[in-house]
Amino acid sequence: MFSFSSSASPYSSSASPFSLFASVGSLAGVLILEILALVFTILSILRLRSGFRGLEAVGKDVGGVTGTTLWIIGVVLTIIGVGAILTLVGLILIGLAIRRVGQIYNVSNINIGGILIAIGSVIPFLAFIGFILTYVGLGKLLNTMGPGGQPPSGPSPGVTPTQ
Amino acid sequence: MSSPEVNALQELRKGSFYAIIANVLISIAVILVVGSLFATFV
Repeated sequence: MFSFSSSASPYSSSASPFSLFASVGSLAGVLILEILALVFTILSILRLRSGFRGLEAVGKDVGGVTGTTLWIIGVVLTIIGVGAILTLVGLILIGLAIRRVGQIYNVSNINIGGILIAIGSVIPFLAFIGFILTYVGLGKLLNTMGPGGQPPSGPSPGVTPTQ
Repeated sequence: MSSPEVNALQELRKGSFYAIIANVLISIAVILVVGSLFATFV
């Protein structure tokens, strides 16, 4: 299905029905992967939004809800053809919100992850590393927190929540 | 029973996980497209 062989070209002089099928199969594979990626992106936005709202509800307003709104509008508009700027701004806001989470709970992985997500809206693959760092950092934080939700070192005094 | 704060952090963690999966899928799709273009034109 995902053939990379040089005979996969329908434009080459030696194109065979098999190579044509391989190209069509590869295109279909890319389409399926992109649809799956879109579904996971939307799931990600909804979960992040729910998490930011949850933190807001317990008095730890890190922002980020606006970022998720912009990101989801950007994703919808990107399907039509515009919306890249909304996605970019949304990712920057989400990155900054995650950075604030790292500052509040004093977890450097989340802090750095947030910065990388914000920068990654412009530079490819940095956001990927940022989300991995955030995932690892949140895992560590949740392991150190009890079921009652007591953070290991308390909130930092220098953090000013913004939307 | 987890506190709302723990639930919120778990939601953020799940969101990050889904974003990682989405990034991996997009990366594979990009590799496939570049590979197909390379196979077509080179």
